[in-house]
Amino acid sequence: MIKRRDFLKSSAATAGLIGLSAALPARAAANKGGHLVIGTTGGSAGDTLDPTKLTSVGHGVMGYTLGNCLTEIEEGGELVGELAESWESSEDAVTWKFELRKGVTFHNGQAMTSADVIHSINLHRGEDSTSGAKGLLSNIADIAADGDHAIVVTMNAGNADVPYLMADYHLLIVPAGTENFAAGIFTGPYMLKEFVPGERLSATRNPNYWKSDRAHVESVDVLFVDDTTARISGLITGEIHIAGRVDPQSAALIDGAPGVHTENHPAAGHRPLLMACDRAPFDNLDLRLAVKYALDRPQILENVMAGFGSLGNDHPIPPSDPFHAADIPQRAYDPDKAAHHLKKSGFEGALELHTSNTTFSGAEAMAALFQQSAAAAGLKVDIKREPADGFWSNVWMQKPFVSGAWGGRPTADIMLTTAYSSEASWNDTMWRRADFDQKLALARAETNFDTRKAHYHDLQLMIHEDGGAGIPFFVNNVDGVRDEVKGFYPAGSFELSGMRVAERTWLES
Amino acid sequence: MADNSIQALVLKRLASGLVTLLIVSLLVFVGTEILPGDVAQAVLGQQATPEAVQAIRDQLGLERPAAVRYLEWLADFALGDLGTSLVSGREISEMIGQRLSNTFFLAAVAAVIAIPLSVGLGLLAALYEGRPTDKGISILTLIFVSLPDFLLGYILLLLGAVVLGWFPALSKLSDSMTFWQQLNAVALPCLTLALVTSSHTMRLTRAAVLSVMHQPYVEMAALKGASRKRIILRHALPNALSPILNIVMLTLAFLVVGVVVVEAVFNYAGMGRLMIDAVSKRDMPLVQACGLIFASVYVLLNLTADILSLLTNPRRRRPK
Repeated sequence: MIKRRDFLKSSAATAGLIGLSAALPARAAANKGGHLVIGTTGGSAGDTLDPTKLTSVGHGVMGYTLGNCLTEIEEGGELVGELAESWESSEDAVTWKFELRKGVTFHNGQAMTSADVIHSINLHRGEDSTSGAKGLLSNIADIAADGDHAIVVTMNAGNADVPYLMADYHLLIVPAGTENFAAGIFTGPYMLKEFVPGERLSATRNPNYWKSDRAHVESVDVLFVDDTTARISGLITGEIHIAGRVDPQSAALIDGAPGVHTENHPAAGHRPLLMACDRAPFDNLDLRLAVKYALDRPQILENVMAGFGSLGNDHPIPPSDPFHAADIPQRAYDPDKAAHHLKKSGFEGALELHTSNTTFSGAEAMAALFQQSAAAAGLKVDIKREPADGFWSNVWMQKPFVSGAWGGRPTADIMLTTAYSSEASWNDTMWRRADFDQKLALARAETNFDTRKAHYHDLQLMIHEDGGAGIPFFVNNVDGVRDEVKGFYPAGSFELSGMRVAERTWLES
Repeated sequence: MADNSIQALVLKRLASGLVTLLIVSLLVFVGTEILPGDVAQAVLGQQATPEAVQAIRDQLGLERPAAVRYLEWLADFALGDLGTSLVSGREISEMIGQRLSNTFFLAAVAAVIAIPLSVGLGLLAALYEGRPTDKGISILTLIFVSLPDFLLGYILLLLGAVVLGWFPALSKLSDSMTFWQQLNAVALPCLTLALVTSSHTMRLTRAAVLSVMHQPYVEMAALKGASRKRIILRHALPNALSPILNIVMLTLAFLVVGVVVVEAVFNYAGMGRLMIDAVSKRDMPLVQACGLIFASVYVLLNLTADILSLLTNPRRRRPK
């Protein structure tokens, strides 16, 4: 089943320095040829190749099999140019100029120019847009061509992350004027051979691909196998070379089987307990702190996620992010402190925690563990299991204490703006502070890395100390890979090498 | 005279089949109406702001009275227009086409294995009633009928695909495959279905034949000195044929509409997965189309069973 909402919350990668060079780490020479089969999730009979309609990881894998964006997130979150060769911004990060790569052709032989790029980005903008990237681009004031091989993007306000936005998997470049995407004309590593919605996409190598060190195999199948057991069976029997999204329980089995292994890498998604700060009982900071100290994070990580993740510290920026504030001391399970804050808050009675496994498959287990660890601090918690239907409409952001789930965001700014700024429509802790909003805008427009990092440090500290989210852990991306597949590396916050496995991996003969 | 009465009976059955379908269509429609949440909420998920939900509802005309929408839908359906999917905007007939033929292919192959096998085993068990052959067949089929289909599927997958490597774990069909390759691709789901369904058919065949065996005319045949084999094949089987035909038709119907779990286990692109997909997204026209197609298959096969049993059993043509 497609978890569209899981996915919409995620986007490209963890933030990093804006790198202008396309230098890549040295790798062993790739073997050419062969037929690669990728087993992924999130397909349905209604799928199309329209970039505005991509919603799942599987869709992203299809997109990157056929197409390219302006920029690309590489190993370690480094941003490199893809169809844009370089970029520069004005001092205030309001105006951005992207120089486009010359000599790139679409699958139909047509040369790529600035008109194509502008058309492709504008598909996602405007009132009527239903694209998953609409929100990302909402602060773009204007996009204009500067000759055939450059575009100028003007923002409503300074934003140092614009090049990161351009790496979003929706923003694939298509020929200007394309309205019907059935032909699958892009600039990418493989050319469409057959697309059966919800079942598979078959593609063959693009002989004119402009990247010389990518697209190693001769042909690729992207199979949609949403049943986890079927996906793993296919991996074990060799019908699938790379299986995305392995659950923690199966990961150990894969590592124990011959010929296959897992790729297990930290990611930015997290699973908070959300407290609504604008109403009783959580308008009381002491009660929020009591909940945060009553979370036994290592126990939850071990039991709910089988250890596949990293500890969270009650703010949403993961350790892998360059702006992560590492010097904020890790909050530990402390029943005494929890009891102290509970007493100080004056709260009596039981907290009702609304939860559902529709947020993530371990939500109810996590609630039960929290109930136990909170009881040791004298904090009584009642678990209310909610039906999956309507959870996001009737429970999330409605009830004062709920289980939540956030996928990783490409940059720290997008994460904080989407969930913690006062006006955010997904401010799911109802936590509103004017000083936070001001600092966030400052950080967004700041182009000096160190100054920016200092701003983000303060923002994380505010959420850690005062915010309404108890964040026990960040998830890992776990993929199953056959041993003959080489060249797999993690990139950004998405699984399957940032969804770009098709062009990055090769098959050992 | 006899022909006339057969025709009249068939017409009566056809009419009652149509009424059944009409009732089913109403139930499917009402069922999808009372499901909590709607396509607007399902499509938007976490982003379901009241305005966005309203916009989608207006766009799809979900605010109009249910009765009006039901009649429109029914009229279109009767004219062969299945409508368009709410989620993707594609024609439903186009989305269903390939899936339906995949489902029929799987069902047909499974039926070709399961039905002769189970009817044969049922007759064999009746022939050797109470003897080790009968007991052996009974125990074996009881084991298969007791195993849930997904477990049986996983066991076969483990043996046939992982350990022995004879068959693929993922059943995918494509036009470029030869018939034998397609058979190989569906081998494991077919075997699962055949084993699950043959137990029912075998046991009911056995019971139907044995119940006839206690009739006086069978005793008469035995007194004439006919062998047990001859009694079963010449005297008991023709009279037990109508319940057996009913069982076979029900089995066929199950093979078409009851394969949802098996399709998921082997990632087979059939109607079952399409319908699950549609339900989880609240794509109501697609759910309704799938529901009505499934119901039609059931009604048609039952009708066939009725008509066949009328033809094979002259006694049923006479009103009591």
